Amino acid sequence: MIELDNITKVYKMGRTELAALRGISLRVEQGEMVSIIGPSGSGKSTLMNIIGCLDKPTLGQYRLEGIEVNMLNDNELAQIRNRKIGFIFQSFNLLPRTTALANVELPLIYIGAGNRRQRASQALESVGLAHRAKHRPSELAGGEQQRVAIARALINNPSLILADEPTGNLDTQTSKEIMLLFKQLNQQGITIVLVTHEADIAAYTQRTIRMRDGQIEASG
Amino acid sequence: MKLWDCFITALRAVSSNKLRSGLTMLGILIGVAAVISMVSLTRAEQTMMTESFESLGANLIYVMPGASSTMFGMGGPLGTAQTLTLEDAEAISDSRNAPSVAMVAPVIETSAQVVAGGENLGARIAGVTPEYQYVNNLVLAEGSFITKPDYTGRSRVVVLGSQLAQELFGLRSPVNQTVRLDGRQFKVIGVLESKGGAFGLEDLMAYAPLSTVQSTLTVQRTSSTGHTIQAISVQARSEETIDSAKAEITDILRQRHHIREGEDDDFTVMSMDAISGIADQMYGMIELVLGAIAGISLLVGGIGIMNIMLVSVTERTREIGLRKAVGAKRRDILTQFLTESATLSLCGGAVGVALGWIVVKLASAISANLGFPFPAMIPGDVIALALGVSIFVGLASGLYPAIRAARLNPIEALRHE
Repeated sequence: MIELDNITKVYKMGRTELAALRGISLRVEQGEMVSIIGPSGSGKSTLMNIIGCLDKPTLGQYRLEGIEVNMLNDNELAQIRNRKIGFIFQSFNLLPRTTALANVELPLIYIGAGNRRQRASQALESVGLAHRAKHRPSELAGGEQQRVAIARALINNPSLILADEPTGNLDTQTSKEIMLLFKQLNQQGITIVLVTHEADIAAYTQRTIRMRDGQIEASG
Repeated sequence: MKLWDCFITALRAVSSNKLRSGLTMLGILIGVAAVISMVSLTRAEQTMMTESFESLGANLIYVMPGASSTMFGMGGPLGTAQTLTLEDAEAISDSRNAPSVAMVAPVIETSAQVVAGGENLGARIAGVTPEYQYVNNLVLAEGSFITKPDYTGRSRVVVLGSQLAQELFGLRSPVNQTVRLDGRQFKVIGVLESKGGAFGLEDLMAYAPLSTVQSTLTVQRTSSTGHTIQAISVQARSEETIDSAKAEITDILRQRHHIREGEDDDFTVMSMDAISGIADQMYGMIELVLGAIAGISLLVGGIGIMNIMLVSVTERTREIGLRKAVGAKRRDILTQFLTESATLSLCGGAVGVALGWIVVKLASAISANLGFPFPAMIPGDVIALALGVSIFVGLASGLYPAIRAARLNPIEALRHE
C-alpha cells in the first residue's frame, strides 16, 4: 500500500538547510491502522504530507498502491489526493457558511461527478449525521464537525485515510467516539494512518511508529 | 471543475459577505450607470438632431455672408457682414450659370413688434419668396404660403410659425385675421406646421414677402452689387449635384464680388450634409469624452475589485489549502477566483445598467414635463457592451489575485492562521 524507501526531506531556510526527514523507510500494508507519534519537530507532519501527496521528498522513493509518486506532476498529484486519499485535520477545516452536506460534496466537484447530493447524503449517513445535513459547521459540535470531515474524506471511497491529530480539539468522550469510528472504517478495509502525540489515542491502532529528529526511532 | 459549479461557488462567496461585495461593486456600478445614461441621452439627442436636419429640407445649401473663419464654420459670420444681395440670388437662380441649382430662396431677416388683439410680442420676421417654402421644406397647417403675386405686388400678408400663431391667437384660427408688424397692418394668410426638434426657433418666426419686408420693415440697404440680404437658401437638383451646385454658386459669387484668384471668399457656402457632418463630429467627440470617463471609472472600479480579491485570497488561505488537499488543481482555484471577481463585477454592471435605465427614464419624464419630449431607451448594443466590459474588468482585475491563490502551497495554506 504505502512503500517509503529512504525518504529524505530538506527544507531550505534562506542559506541554512533543515533536514526534516533523514532516510525514512516504511511499509504500511493494505487494511492496516497505524499511528505515528513523536514530539513536535520530529518530522511526523512532514512525513504525513509526503504520504498524502501534498509534498514531494527531496530524495528517496515513494510508491502508493504501486504508483511512483515522485514521477507525477501537480495535477496528477491532485488527482491522487482526490481519488485515493481522505484527509482529516485537527481543526476539521470545514468551509464556514456552507452546509455539512455541501462540505461533504466538495471533493466530488473537482472530478465533475454526478448525483453528488445523493452520494454526500449517504456519506453523512454512514457517519451518523444524516439529521444534521443542512446545518453549518458553526451550528455543529466539535465531534459532529469532525464526523462531517470524515464523511468528506470518505466520499470518493479512498483506500487511505490520513488523520493529523484528529482528536486534538475534542474532549475525551468525543475522542473515543471518533476513534471507534476510525476502527470501524478500518474494519471495512480502509487503511488508516494517523498522527498523534497522545499515547491513549495511539493505543487504538495496531502499530505505532515512534519518530524523533526526522528518523524512525521505533516501529511495531 | 465545471463552470456551473464555479459560478455557484462564486455566488455563494459573493453573497456571504454582502456589505463588502456591495461596496466593491459600487465602483463598477456607478461607472456603468453613468456611461449608460450619458450615452443613451446623447444618442437620443443625436437622433432628434438628425431628424431636425432632415426636416429642414432635402439637398439644401445655405449661402451666408462673411467668410467661414470660425471653428466648425458655424456661429460667427451669419448676418454680420453684408456682402450678399438680391441680385446675387437672381444670378444663382439663372440656370445657364448654375445648372445644378433647382431653386433659390433669398432671405432678409429683421425683427419686429407683432401685435394681434391684446397680444404684443417681438418676433423675427423673414422676408422670403414663394420658393422658400419648397427649399426649406415648410408645411402649412392651414391657409397658404406667400405667392408670386404677393411678392411682386408687395402685399402686406404674413405666414405665422406655429408657436407664434398660438401665442398670438390661442386656439382661434389666425387665418384672415390682422396683425400689426411694427404698427403696419398685415393679413395672416397661413400658419405653418411645427418643425419642433432642435430648431424650434422657426416655430417662432413670421414670414412675409421679401419685397414687402424690404420696403416697409427695414431700412433699404444697398451695396455695390445690389440690395443687401441676409442669406440665400438653395436647393440642388439632386443629392449627387450638391457639390457641383456649391462650386457653381462659389464661382458666380466670386465673380460678382470681384474676388481675385487667391483671395478668400466674402461669403460661406455650406450644404446641410456638411452641417450635419459637423454635428456628428461633435457627437463623436462627446462620446469619446464619455468613453474616457467610463474608462477611468471602470479602472477605479477594477482596482477596488482587485484589492478586495487580494484580501479575500488572504482570508481564505486555509480554504484554498483544503480545496487543494481534496483534489483541486491550480486551474480549479484560478477559475474559482476569476469567476468570483467576474461575477462581482458583472453584478455591479447589471445593477449599473438598471440604474442607468432609471436615470434615462427620469430624464425623459422630466424633459417631457418641460415640453421637450424625447424617447427614453437604452440601445441594446450599449447594454451588451456595458455587461461585456464589466465581465472583462472583473476578469482583468481578478487575474493577479487568482494566480496568487492558485500558486499557494497547500501545506503552508493549510497551516495558515
